[in-house]
Parts: sequence; structure tokens; C-alpha cells
Amino acid sequence: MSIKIIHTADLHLGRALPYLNTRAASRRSEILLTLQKICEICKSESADALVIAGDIFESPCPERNIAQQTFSILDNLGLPVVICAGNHDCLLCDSPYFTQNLPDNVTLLTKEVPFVKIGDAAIYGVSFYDYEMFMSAPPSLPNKDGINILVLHADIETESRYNPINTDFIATSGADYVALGHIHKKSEIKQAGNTYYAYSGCPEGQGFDELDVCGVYSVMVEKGNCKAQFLPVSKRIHAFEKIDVSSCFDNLAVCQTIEAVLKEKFGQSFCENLYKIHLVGDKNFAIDTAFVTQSLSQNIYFIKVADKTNAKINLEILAKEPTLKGIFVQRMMEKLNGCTQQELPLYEEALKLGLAAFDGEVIFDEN
Amino acid sequence: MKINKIQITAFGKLKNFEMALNDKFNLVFGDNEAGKSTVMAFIKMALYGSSVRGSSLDNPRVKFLPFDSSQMGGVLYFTHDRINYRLDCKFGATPAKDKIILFNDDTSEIVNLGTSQSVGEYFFDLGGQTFESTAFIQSITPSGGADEIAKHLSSITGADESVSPELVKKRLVAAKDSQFTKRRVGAGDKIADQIEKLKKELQDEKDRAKMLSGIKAEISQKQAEIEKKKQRKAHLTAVVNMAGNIHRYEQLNELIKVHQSKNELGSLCKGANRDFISNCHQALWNCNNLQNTANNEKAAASKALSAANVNSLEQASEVLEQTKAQFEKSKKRSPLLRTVLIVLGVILVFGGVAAQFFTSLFAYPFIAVGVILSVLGITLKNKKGYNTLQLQQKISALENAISIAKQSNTSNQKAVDSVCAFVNDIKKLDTDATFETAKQTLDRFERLTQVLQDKTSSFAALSQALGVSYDEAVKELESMPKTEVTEQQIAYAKDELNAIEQTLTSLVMSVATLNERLNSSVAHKGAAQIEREIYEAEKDLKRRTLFANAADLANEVLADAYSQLRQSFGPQLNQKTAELFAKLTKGKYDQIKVSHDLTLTAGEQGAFSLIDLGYLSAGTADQAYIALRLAVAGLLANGNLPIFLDDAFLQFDHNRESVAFELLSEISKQQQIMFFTCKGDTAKRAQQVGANLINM
Repeated sequence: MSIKIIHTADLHLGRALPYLNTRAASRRSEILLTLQKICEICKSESADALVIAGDIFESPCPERNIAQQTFSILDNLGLPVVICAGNHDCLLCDSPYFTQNLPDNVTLLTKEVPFVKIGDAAIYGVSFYDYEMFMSAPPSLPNKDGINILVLHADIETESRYNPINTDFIATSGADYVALGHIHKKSEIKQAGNTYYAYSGCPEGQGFDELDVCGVYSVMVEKGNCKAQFLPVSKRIHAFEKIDVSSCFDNLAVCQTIEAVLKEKFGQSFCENLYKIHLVGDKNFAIDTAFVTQSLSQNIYFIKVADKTNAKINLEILAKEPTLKGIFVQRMMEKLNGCTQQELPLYEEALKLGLAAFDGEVIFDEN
Repeated sequence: MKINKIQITAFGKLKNFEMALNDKFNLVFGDNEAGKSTVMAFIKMALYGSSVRGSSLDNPRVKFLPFDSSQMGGVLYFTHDRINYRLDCKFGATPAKDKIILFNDDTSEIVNLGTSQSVGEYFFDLGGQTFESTAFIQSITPSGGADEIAKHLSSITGADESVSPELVKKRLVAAKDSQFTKRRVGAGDKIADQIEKLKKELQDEKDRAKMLSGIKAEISQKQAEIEKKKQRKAHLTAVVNMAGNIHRYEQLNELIKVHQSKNELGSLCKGANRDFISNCHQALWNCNNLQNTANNEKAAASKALSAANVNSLEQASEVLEQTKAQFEKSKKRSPLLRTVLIVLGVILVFGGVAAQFFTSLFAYPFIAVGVILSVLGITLKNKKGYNTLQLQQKISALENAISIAKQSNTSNQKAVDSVCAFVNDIKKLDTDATFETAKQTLDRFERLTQVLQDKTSSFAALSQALGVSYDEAVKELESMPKTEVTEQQIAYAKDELNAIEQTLTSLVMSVATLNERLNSSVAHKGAAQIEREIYEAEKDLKRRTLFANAADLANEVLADAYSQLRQSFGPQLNQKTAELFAKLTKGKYDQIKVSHDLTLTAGEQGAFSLIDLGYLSAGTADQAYIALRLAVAGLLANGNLPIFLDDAFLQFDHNRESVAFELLSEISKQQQIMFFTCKGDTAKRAQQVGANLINM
């Protein structure tokens, strides 16, 4: 008695991705293709079902063509697809789940249809009907003698308005596997009581808080046992790197250093990824981040560069100078030493800006 | 610090160069291009390095790169706080490639610079820029004037030749304004506005979600209502359909009743029909006519008999016989007289008429006599009083009376016969009928036959309308279910049904409209998405707010620092500058003031007011500037700063230059002086005050 599922969540199809600027539209299309790729994995893995633990769509009422394309892809899969709506695509009345025809192979878990039986297993769950949800207890097991897979969009072990649950909740659910969505970073397969659970994470990163390779879980669920394998699907990786440019004395050198570091870390295909770069180390010259970003963008799909290098300043010595700058530093140092932890960032920033003002225009770092 | 010796292995044009210095006043003399500036640059590079990058000549690593590209470097020997030091310098292409090592020359140990980033910082607690702007003194250009002095003064107090406190403040204000302004046009203002907009959008979205839920609930409610109405409609339709059955039931019953009534009437009518009744009426009419005729004739007979002076037919016959006999007797007496009288009378009449044609006067008497005679002849009676004529008349009257009486009797008999015949007919319907009751019987049966006729017609029409015969009607009626629904209830049901159908139509349309509203929703952001945007915008706003607040704070601290600078350093600077200025001008000007707006004002001895430097000669202005620079150099680094002057007295005449050298000689007792010049006269004048001449 077993069932093999592909567990995914949080595709957020239709998300605007404004941070990508001109790349946003193509990236949105790519994410839709990722769903297609997941479907192909379902077939290659000979899965019995595709389980999507919420937030397929970015909003409860996405653009009509996005919903149509999504349902079309799922329809073509042919295998059973079980969907639990999340806080982003919660089941409001104008949800495409209601206003458009769901493919026959797709089951949306609702109050009316709380579970679906696939072979010896039952897949059940609770969808969001509003932007927030709180569950007092796990839903009852639909398949007492068989395999039960619970699909939930939930926050685990945190105070949240988005279906906060804890390990006790999972343990008492009695399910064999709980397929979780909402947290975009994948978790390992964990166990609470006799129940296994995991976040698959999002299959395609959509911001620099969703780093590294993303993918889906292929889970073989047996009564009382689970074996899961993480399968990467993301076309591109979001990466955040701090790169020391102390040895660079012009913008070209900075570009070369960045490329070298990225190439070493991400291989020959490093250009396909999305990068957020913080330049660190000693400031040898005024780095033109706009120039660096533009230069690197010729080859790299997306990159943004922020200058976080430090000018070589010995504040203690500077503070001893009987000059305006010296007295300014001295005063700031006094304030820094006397301020609370809460005030510290303000005084540090004030010192940084003040010193910068002696050197030139003070520009807000947009990155 | 006192520099004892400079050894340059390679720096600019200098290679394997060495220069020994004393600890007081050194005058370095050499022609242009001799390398004086290179020596000064080496000293600065040795003490502070250089952070200037790029390939321009501003970068000393480029400017002073030896022609043979050998590694730049050298050794600086100096004494500080009575300790001898040796500074080994090897300059690379970049600061990272520099190798600068400080040795305690007394112990040959490497000196750890601690947190200091340069040897200069280690000994002077001054940054490279401050060192350069205080220890190195050049002559200001003749065209500079007061503004140039102010600029230099600013560079001294601000430790940066390109920045004034006002500029720093302006940059910080601009930084703050880039985010938040009173007119709300800063980037932070826009983010804040965006957040407000997003919050409103979020509320709208939540309201919208509620509205949609409301619509859905309304649809569910209406659909439930529709179901109820449909059920009610089905019930009412059944009731109304039952009304059709009831109607037929009643019609069938009516058919049967009419049929029964028809049959009853038929038996009551005893075979009477319209023809029979019509015949009876004809017979009755005849009876009446005959009776009327008989009555009339009876009256005529009575009258005729009376006229004949008899009472009855029998008496009339008898009198007639007697009269006839009498008449026969009268016809036999005096007929001649009567004839004569009549003939004469006629002749006279005719004669009179004829005579009238000739003369009217005599005719009329003849006519009158003739008439009279004729009447007499006619009226002449028999002997019993009757004349013949009278008898004849009596006979005629009697005969007439007898005839009429006989006719009357005949008519009367006919009338009686017809009545009997009529009564006999009626007796078919009513055996006890008399003539008087027969007429009533006839009327009664006439009415019965009319009713029967109507019933028969009704039955036929009903039978045709219902499509059944009597037998079929009976059979159908027996098979029909009984119902207890009243007509009133059915009427109510019909009314309610109409109302329900209207309501149903309205509900269905309403549901369709609501569904259309749901289905016509255009793509929109969800609350979760908006909340994330708010979160990100607030994070951004927080950074911008911190930036703006920090810029404000930096400005406040800058203002405090500037105030402190003026208060702590300003008085000493003023005092020292004035002292030196008085010495340079041999007491002519003993007043000078560094004002808050970084301008210098000076006054002659005893003057009550100070005048702007711009009103003084270029030389005097330069003296003021030199006084200020020397004062600053003396005040900084606890007087340990060696002072480098690069032909700083170009604006001075010989006397002023001599006086200035005397001053330098005095200062050199405390601070080492290195005066670089390419002018031989200048060198001689320096030597006159004891300067150590070093030729290059």
C-alpha cells in the first residue's frame, strides 16, 4: 500500500516581480513554464498525483489568461492534481477556481470536497477562504484504514495569521504525510509523532529572500512511512553574494572580480542566474555601481550591485584632529558610545553620512 | 618630529638621492626641475601614502614613476620625542602593494603602528589631507585675493581643500531633502504616499472580498428562495390543475342532471310536443272565433226578431204566416185612386221641371203639387189601417229575422262543437280538463315543453363540449377522484401562483445579474500581495527615514562641531595669527581676526576697526595668510609638525622676505623648517638668518 506524489507549492503565478524591471514579463512566463516542468517530472517519476499546497496564484483573482494557461497545463498532465488554496489565492467568490472550469483531473479541496481518494490513499486538506485562517484542530482522517495525505498552507511554529500550526497539530492529525506550503524555503522531511511533514518551498525563486536552487519533493508515502527526494526544477537561481573588492582600483576591475567570483561559485552557466551583489572591503575609489551593473547586465540575466565598501578611515585618529571633520567624528563617537542599542543604527548612519558629506554628495543607496 | 635625512632610491627623477637636514631651519635651493617638489612628495608619500587612483598625473604613483620603471622607494630618518626612527618605503603600483616599515632606529625593532593607517597618523594624529593642508605652505596666487584666502582658511578648518562647512551642511540637507521635503516631493515622501495608497487599496480589497462574500451569500439565499418558490409553485400548480378536474367533475354532474331533468320533463309532458301544443292553440283559437261569431249572430238574430216584434223564431214563423195572409187581402182594394194620384203627381212633377227651362216663376208650384199627389197616392191605406207596402215590409222583416235566427243557431252549434273538439284534445294531457282548465293545462304543458326543449339543447351542448355521452359521463364521473380543495382555495392558489412566477422571474434575473458580477471580476491584487507590497515599502521607508534622520542628525552634530571648532581653536588661532602677523609686518598690523564666515580682517596698530583683507596689498594679504598657516601648523600636533614652505614668499619684497625668514628662524627653534626655493636671492636672505643651505 503506497502512493507516490509530487509535492509543490507557492508558485505565485502572476506575481508582478517589479524588482526585475524589464525582465519581469519574461520571468513570469518562465515561472509558468516551471509548472509545465513539474508536470513533466510527475510523468518521469511515475507519480500517482501532483499535490499543490497553496498559492499557485499570486492573487485570488489573477489575470484570466494566467488561470486558463495554468488549468490547461494541469489538464494536459492527465494525472490527478490536488490543490489546496493558500492565503494568496484564497477562495474568494471571483476566484478562477469558481469562475472557470477546473479540469476533470483537478480536485480543489473545499468544504464540499474535503478529500479525494486516489487508489489506497486519501488526499485531504483545508483551503483558505479568506486572507487569513486559523484552524483549531486537524481535520478528521478521511481514510482510517488507508494512507492519508494532508495538504495544508500553513505557518508552522510561528505566530501568524496564516493558519498557524505546530508539531502537536501535525502529530495529532494522524496523517501519514503532511504536504505544507506557505514557507518558500524548503524544509527537510521531518517527523512529528508518526506523521512526516515537509515544506517543498517554492519551485522558482521570486526574490532575493528566496535563494539557491528551488524544486519539488517526490514523496513515496506508505502507511506509517515516507521517503522523499528533492528534485530541482528552478530555471534560475537567486543568489546574494558579498564580494570583496579591496584589490580593485577601477570599475572594470570590479566587474572582472564579480564575474570571476560568480563563475567560480556557479559555474559556466552563472550568467543565467539572478544576483544581488554587495561590494565589501576597502574603498579604493568611488565605485560607479550603475556602470558596474550595466556592464555586467550585458551577460548576466539579472544583477544589481550595491557598494558597501568602507573608506579607509581610522575614526579614533580622525577624532583627534582639531579640524571640523575631526571634531565631527569626535562628537559622533561620543554619541555612539552613549547611545542605546536602538539608537545605534541612526548614529552609525549619521556618522557615515557626515563623513560622506565631506567627500561629496550624499546619495541614498537604492540597493 | 625632526627629519634628519632623506634617502631616495628611486622616486620621480631622483635616484639614489640623499639629503641631510638639521633640526631647525633648512633651506633647499635648486633650479626649476631640480626635484624640490619630488622631495616634498616623497616625504608626504612616506608619511601618509597616497589614495589617489587612476592613470592621471594626480596619482603620485604615476607622476613620480621613475623613467626606468624601477620600484619607487627610499628611507626617511627622523627623530621624534628623542627617539630615532627609520622609515623604509617601497611604493607599489597600488596602495596594497606598498611596503612601508617603521623601525626604531635605536633598537632596530619594527614599530607597530597599531590602528594607525599611516606613519603620519601614528605620530601626528592627523590625516593625510590635514597634514598636507597645514604642514605644506605655498604662496597664494596674486590673483587669489580674499576669496582665495577664505578658501584656504576653510581648507584648514575643514581639513579638505574642496569642502567648506557650508558645503557639507548643504550636502546633508540635500541628502535629507532627497527623501523628505515639506512639499512632499522626496523619494521617501513618495514611498510614504504609496504606503497610504496601498493601505487604502488593502482596505478596499478586504471590503471587496466582503462584498463578494455578500454577493455569494445573496446568491445562495436567492437560490434557496428559488427552490422554495419552485416547490410552492409545483404545489400550487397541482392545486390549480385540480381546479380543472373539479370543473369537469361539475360539468359531468351537470350533464347528468340535465339528462335526468330532461327525462323527467319528458314524462311530465306526456308526449306533448310543439306541434301538438301548436295544434291545440289553433283549435283554441278556432273555438274562440266560432264562439264570437255565434255570439254576434245570436245578437243579430235577437235584434232582428225584436225588430220583427217577435220574441223567438217560432213566434216569428207564426206571425209571418198571419202577415202573409193579411197582405193577400189588402192587395184587392181601391187601387185606381192610388194609381190616378200617383200618375197625376208624376205628370205635374215632370211638367214643372220642363217648365223651369222657360220660366222659373211658374214651374215650382207644379212640381210641389205633383210630389204631394204622388205621396198621397202611395200612402193611401186599406180599410184596416195597413197599406200593402207596410205589410210587405213586415213580411220581409219577419223573413229576415227568421233567417238570421236560424243562422245564429247554426253558428252556435259550430262553436260548441269546436270547444268540444279542443277539450277532447287537451284531455289527452289532462283527463279532467274542462274548457276553462284546458287552457291552463295547455299553458302549463307549453311551458313544460319549452323547458324540455331547453334542457335537451343544454344537454346536447354540454355533451358536445365535454365530448362524452350520458353513459360516458356517468362512467368518467365514477372514475374521478374526490377532492376537498375549494374553489376559493384554488382562486387563492392561482393568485399566489402568479405572484410566485413573477417573484421567480425576478429572483432568477437577480441571481443571473449577481453571477455576472462575480464572473465579470477583472484581475486584481489580493490582500496578501498588497500586504507584502506594504511590508516591502515600509521596509524601504524605514531605510529612507533612517537615512534622512541620520542626515539631520549629522547636520546637527556638524553644526555643534563647527561651533566647538570656532570656540576652541578659533581664539588660539586668532591670537597666534595676530602675533605672527605683527612680527611679519614689524608691528604695523597687530590685529587680525578669523571671522565665522571664514574671512580674514586685519587692522593696523591702534586702529579701531578691522578691514577686509581684500583692501590690503597682495603682499600684506599674503603675510596675513602666511601668519595664519604658520599659526595653524604651530597649533596642530602639539608643535611637532615639520613645516614645508615652497617658495611661500613670492609676493614679498626683500624686506618683507627678510623679516619673514627671521620669523621662520625663530619658529625653527621649536619646529623644523624646510624652505624650498629656486631663487638665489631668497636663499641668501635665508642664509643671513642662519638657515642651513642645501643645494640640489
